[in-house]
Parts: sequence; C-alpha cells; structure tokens
Amino acid sequence: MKKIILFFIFSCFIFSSTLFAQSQEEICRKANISYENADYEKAASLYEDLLEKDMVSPEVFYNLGNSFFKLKQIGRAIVNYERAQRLAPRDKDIRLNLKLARSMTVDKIEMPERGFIVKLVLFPYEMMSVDELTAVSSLIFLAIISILIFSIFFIQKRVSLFYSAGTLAILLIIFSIFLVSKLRAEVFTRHAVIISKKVDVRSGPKKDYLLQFTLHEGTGLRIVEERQGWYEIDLSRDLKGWLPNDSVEVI
Amino acid sequence: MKKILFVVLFLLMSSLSYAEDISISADVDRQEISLDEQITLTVTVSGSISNVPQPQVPSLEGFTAYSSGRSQNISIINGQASSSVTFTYILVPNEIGEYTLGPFSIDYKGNTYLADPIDIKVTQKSGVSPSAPSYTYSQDEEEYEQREELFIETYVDKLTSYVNEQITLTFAFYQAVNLFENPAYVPPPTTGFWTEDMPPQKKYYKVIGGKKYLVTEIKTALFATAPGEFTIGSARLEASVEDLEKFFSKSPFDMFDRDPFSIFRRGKPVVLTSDPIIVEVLPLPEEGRPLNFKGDVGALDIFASVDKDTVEENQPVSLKVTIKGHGNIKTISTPNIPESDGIKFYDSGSSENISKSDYVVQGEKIFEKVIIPKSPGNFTVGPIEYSYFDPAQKRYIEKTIAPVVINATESEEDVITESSISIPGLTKEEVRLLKKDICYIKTRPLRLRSKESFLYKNKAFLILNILPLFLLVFLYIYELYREKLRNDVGYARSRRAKGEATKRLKGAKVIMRKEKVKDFYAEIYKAVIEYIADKLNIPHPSITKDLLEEKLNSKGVPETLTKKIKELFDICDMARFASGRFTKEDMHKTLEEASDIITGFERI
Repeated sequence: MKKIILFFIFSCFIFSSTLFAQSQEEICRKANISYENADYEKAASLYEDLLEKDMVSPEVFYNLGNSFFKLKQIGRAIVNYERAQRLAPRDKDIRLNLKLARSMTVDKIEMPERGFIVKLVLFPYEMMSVDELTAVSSLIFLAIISILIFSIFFIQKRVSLFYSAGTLAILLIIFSIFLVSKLRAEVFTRHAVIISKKVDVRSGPKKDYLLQFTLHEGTGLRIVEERQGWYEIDLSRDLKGWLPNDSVEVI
Repeated sequence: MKKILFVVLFLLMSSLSYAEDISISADVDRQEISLDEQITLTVTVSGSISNVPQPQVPSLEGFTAYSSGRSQNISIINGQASSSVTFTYILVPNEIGEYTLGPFSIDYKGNTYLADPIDIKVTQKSGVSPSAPSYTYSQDEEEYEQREELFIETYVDKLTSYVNEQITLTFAFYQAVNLFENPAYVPPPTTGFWTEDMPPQKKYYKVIGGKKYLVTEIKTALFATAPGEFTIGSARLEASVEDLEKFFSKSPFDMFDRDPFSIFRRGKPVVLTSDPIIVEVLPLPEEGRPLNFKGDVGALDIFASVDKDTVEENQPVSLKVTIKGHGNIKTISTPNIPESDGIKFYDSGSSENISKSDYVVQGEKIFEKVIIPKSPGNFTVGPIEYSYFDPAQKRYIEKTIAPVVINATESEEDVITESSISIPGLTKEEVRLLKKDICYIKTRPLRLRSKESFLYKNKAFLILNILPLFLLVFLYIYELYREKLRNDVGYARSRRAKGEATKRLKGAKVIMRKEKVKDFYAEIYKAVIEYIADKLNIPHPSITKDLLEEKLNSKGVPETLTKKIKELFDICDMARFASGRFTKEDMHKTLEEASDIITGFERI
C-alpha cells in the first residue's frame, strides 16, 4: 500500500515538473517568434515572464537585453546583459552586445586601462563565473586532501607529495582570492544601471538637496546605502551622491 | 665695486660705438582730455649710441609739466651697442582749448633730430561731458586732499542697462606711496551677472590735490542675466605699505589697535574696500519682440556660407553661419535654420572668436552644420532669420539671410544604403548605431535555474568538501596509532594478547567437543600462559610457572587473580598426567575459569 502511494506521489512530481518545463519551452518559443517578428515589447514581456519566481538564465537575460536594446532602452539592455554575463562570462555574443550598448551611453566614466600581464593574471577572474570559481577551488582543495591522504601511506614519496600539495595550496589561495573578490563584487555589493534618460544626483536623499551632477541612461554605478526611496551611489571616480531608486535597476 | 665695473664697461662701450643713427619720437596716451585729467607724454630717443643727450622740451603752452623720470635700455648685438632712453612727463591742462605739443628736437654732434608735434584738445570737465564715466564716488577736491596715500574706487559706465547689455565695471587703485609687495585684489561679488575679464590693466599717473598718484585700472565687462536691481558688491584690496611712520603719526590711538608684531614685519598691511554699486537692469521690451528672438543683445550681424554649392547626393556640405559684432558673444544661441525636405542636417559644433579691444566685448561666433542631400536636385537652405535687441537704438532688429541653393547631382556610385554612410563630424553614438547591430538572440535550449542556487550554498557540495577533511584527520590518527604499534613491541603484544587468547580458547572449545582431554588442557595452558606473557612482555620460550609467579607479584597483579592462575596451571598439569579423571564438566569449568582470568587481567 505504502509503495503504491509513494509511486503515485513520485509520478505526480515528475509529471508536473515536465509540464512546467514544457510551458517554459512554450513561452520561450513564443518570445523568440515575437522577437523575430520585431514585436520587441511582447518579446520583452514574455522573457520577463520566464524570469519570474527568481529564476535566472543567461540566454533569457541576453534575449531580454536584446529586446530592450531594440526598444532603445539602453539602460535596461545593459542591466540584462550584465546579468547574463555574470552567469556566462565567456559568451562572446553577450560581451559584444554589452560593449555596443555601453558605447551608446552618454556619460564617459573612465575605466582603468589594464596592461597585458594584469589581464593575463586576471583572466580566470574575468572569464569565470562564481560557480565555476567555486568548483575549481573545491577541486584543488580535494586534490590537496587526496595528496595528503596518499602521503600518509606512501612514506617514501612524502617529500615530493608535500611539494605538489604546497604548489596546489598556492593555487588554491589564488583562486580563493578570486572567488572572494568575485563574490564581493557580484553578490555582496549591489551594482545598478541608470534606466531613466537623465537623473539628477543630489547631495542627500531629498529633492531639496543640492544638485551635484547629472547622469544619463546606461551608466553603471555602485549602491552604497538605501533610504526612503533613495539610493546613495558611488561612481568609479570620486563622485558620490543620492538619486531616487526608481531611476536605476539593480543588476 | 660693481658700480665701478659697470661704469668702466659703460665707458668702454661708448668708445666702441661709432655709428650715429639717432631717432626721436614723442607720444601721448590720449589726445583728447578734460580739464581734470592729465596726459602722459613720453619722448623716446633711440640710436646706436650709448650716451643719449637730453631732448629739448619746448614750452608746453597751456600745461603744467612734471618730469616723471627716465628709463634706459641698452642692448649689444654683434659688438654694436644701441640704446633707447624714454623720458616721461606728466602734463596737467590749465585751460580749455586746442594745443600743439612740440616739435621735440634733439641736438647731437651738431645735427638736429626732430619729432612730429602732437595736437591735444582739452575739453570741459567730465561731469558735463556725456561720454565720460559717471562717478559713483561723489568726491570733491577737499576730500581728495584729505585722503590717504592709498585708496580705491569702483565705478560703472552706466547705472541702468538692459538684460545682457554690457556694463563696464572699472576698479581703480590710487597709490602715492611705494608698496612693499604686490597688492592682492579681491574682485567685487557680481551675483546676477555674467562676467568677462578685460585685460590688460591700465596704468597711468594722475595728480589729485597736488599729490601725484599712480593709478591702476582693472576693467570687467558685466552682462546682467535677469531684470531687476542688482548690487555689485565691494571690491577689496589688501596691500602692504612700506612707510611705517606715516601710519604712526596719523593717530596716536591706532597704536592700541595695531598688532605689536607688525613692526618686525617690514610692511604694514592695509585693507581697502570700495562702496557697493546698485545697478538697475531693465527687462527687454515686450513690444515689437520678434518670434525668433532668443535673447541676444548688442550690435550684431549675421552671414551664412557653404563650402560648395554643387555636390553629389549623399555627400556632405558644410554650412557656416557667422554672427559677428559687439555683445555677449559666448551666450549667442544657434540661429533657427528651417529644415527642408530631402536634406539631412547634423550639428557639428560651434566656435567663438572674442576680442576685447577698447574694453568692449566683441567678436564672432561660428555655427557649423553638415548638410546631406538625400536625392539629386536643387535644394534651398533657409532663409535664415535672426533677430537681436540693440540697446543703443532701444529696439529689436531683424535680419534675414537669402536662402542658399545647393545643387545635388546624381551619385556615380551604387546607391548606398543609409545605414552605411559615415558622416564626418557626427557624435560617436549615431555612427555606431547606424553601422553596427547587436548579435542575434539565442534560441538554444534554456538553462533556467533558481536565482539563489549558487554552488557554494549547496549543502551536498559543502559536505562533499568537508568529508574528505574528516577522512584525512581520521586516517592520520589511525596511522599514528599504527606507528605506535610498530615501534613499541610490548604495547603491540599487550594489544594483541586478548585476541590471540580468545582464538586459542575457541580452539580449545572445539577440542573439548572432540573430548581430547589432554590436548584441551594443553591448549588452555598455552592460551593463558601466552596471554600473560604477551601482557607482561616476556619472551614465550623462557616462561616457566615459577618465573611467571614472580613476575605477576612484581607487576602488582591482585593476590586473588594470581591464586586463580596458579590453580588453573595446577589443574592443567594434573590433566596431562591423569587425563582419565577429567570429565566434560571439568573441562567446561576450566574453560570458564580461563576466560575469567583473561577478563580479570584486562581490567587491570
């Protein structure tokens, strides 16, 4: 009796999940057709439906970004490309479109130019997602542990085993630093992109405060604090100020 | 010593010079003055000689002349010395009229050199003259006399003006004493005005109440940005005066106010302030204001030109619209250029060219536009209409430029699509937008997952990472234990003793079932004695009953246990020789006793 009930529950579960998956495929297909027919608004809303319930997918973010780009909403396009890039950092389409969208923004925020060696060193940082960095760090860690376990039993080879474990440990430290800084940059710090055409950045969280500078759509910034519908933001240079939170979208 | 050297050098140079080209020139700073002003007359004698004679200054009729010193310039080029000496005179007019200064002459070695005479017109006092500046400082001569050696004043050329009309603010600094260092000038605050500095500073001498002042004038052009009453605040000048005693003697009470340490400094600081000036700014009249008026004020003119009037279709033509004249050039806005069909317009920026001669802001502003005809044919651009307000005439002036005709010819190339044209002078975003499109959407299967499903938050993943660590620790401890066994034979024997004894007892049990009494007791004996030998770490072959007893006593084994062991061994000995007497019951009992002994031993 018990077995029958279990089987029933199990089959129900599988059935519902496949049904759910099918409906997702359906929505995605519809959205793609809308995009192909240049009905970008419909495509965008369908892609957004897919992302409800806190779901993420690099492809859907990318397609949504494309729809916003076609709708000339550069700020929203950049937000979605950034989200897609975090999930799939080596995707060339995402990178190219993000670059193109950024080139169409008004504000010129100077990015530090990196030399070849710095680029080489930072390659795994730039080109790997949080999960990939976690997995690599974990693999190195497991390798170190296995080597140490081997070294317990193979006393004659202990010295060379310790050397390789040490090398791996250095690698592990490097990857852990990458992982921690990546987590800090993408998970624990909130980044946002301006989605209004023009935003006045003030010295405090109210309309009465002094206007410090204006930013335009598509400019990326870092959120420092939130208060009563305002965000305190930080730009890459020495610019800081407050802006209403409906003018930006958090990545 | 240096001075003597200089003189010797000077004499040497004078003896070297042989060419005798001398010229004389005379100049005044202005030719038309009012009675209360003065003229600076400079007479310059220059030539390839080193010691220049003093020029003869003719009687300067109608003027009182003061000599204001001489300055000399000597230069030696290729061993040839040339010098010029400038004599400066201050002339104060005595009466109204027209006068001629000069001619100025100089006699040198029998030759006479002449400079042209200069005509001077002396007019009424400035208060009557409309062109002279209106002083906001109402001051008469007596007051001037009482003034100190140092004072400043500010005045404007007009007290009422229109919005965006130029007001010239003059700051004048009068000094009759030497200053210890350069004075610091703080310009007056000019809120509500667009300001434009007008260099250079003007310096001249002026005599007021018998005192000769060096006057420094700094002029600033102001353009009001809105109508209403505005105040030009006080200008400030911080100077340091060399002459201490004058300040001492002036008022004995000043002593108390003064900073006592100022004596040790070499200068006495003086701060001078001017009175603020109130200026009324009139709004531009509503009446007759053209529709296309954008707020430009002054005396302006507009021109337009194209770089070529015949062009291939889809090729750019550059249109230049120039606005030129007096007024606030920087604020001039782009004139309206009517868009026409078949032509694309792109702004390509503007440039300004500003000069400030005669202390009036003037110049030109050039607006450039790129025009691209989209198809062949004739196109007209314009007419361009422009209007400004002339404050002198107090009315609006409208100007219209005749339309420019551009003839576009058929392009010889294949028809280029709009998206591939690159136009010079465009902003980067437009060019990029036309040229480059985004990559296409992705249609491959989705990789949807939950937002918070980071690998590092996955519990199974974390356990997978932590478990090997525990395994490592466990294996390490196990290895340590094995190491100890390997190195300590006694410990190892003692650890293994119970297991071996149990094994032997099991074997004995099997033998018991087969009812081999002799073998059984031999086995029991072996099991117990080897167990004890292992426990006490005594080599097997050397064990005898007596030795064992001794060892047991020395190791502190309880008396009861020793007794039990003894009894067991006695039984075993007996069984070896009289096996017939032992029944199965006895064997059972012995087996239990043996295991009792072993468990008893383990407890120690």
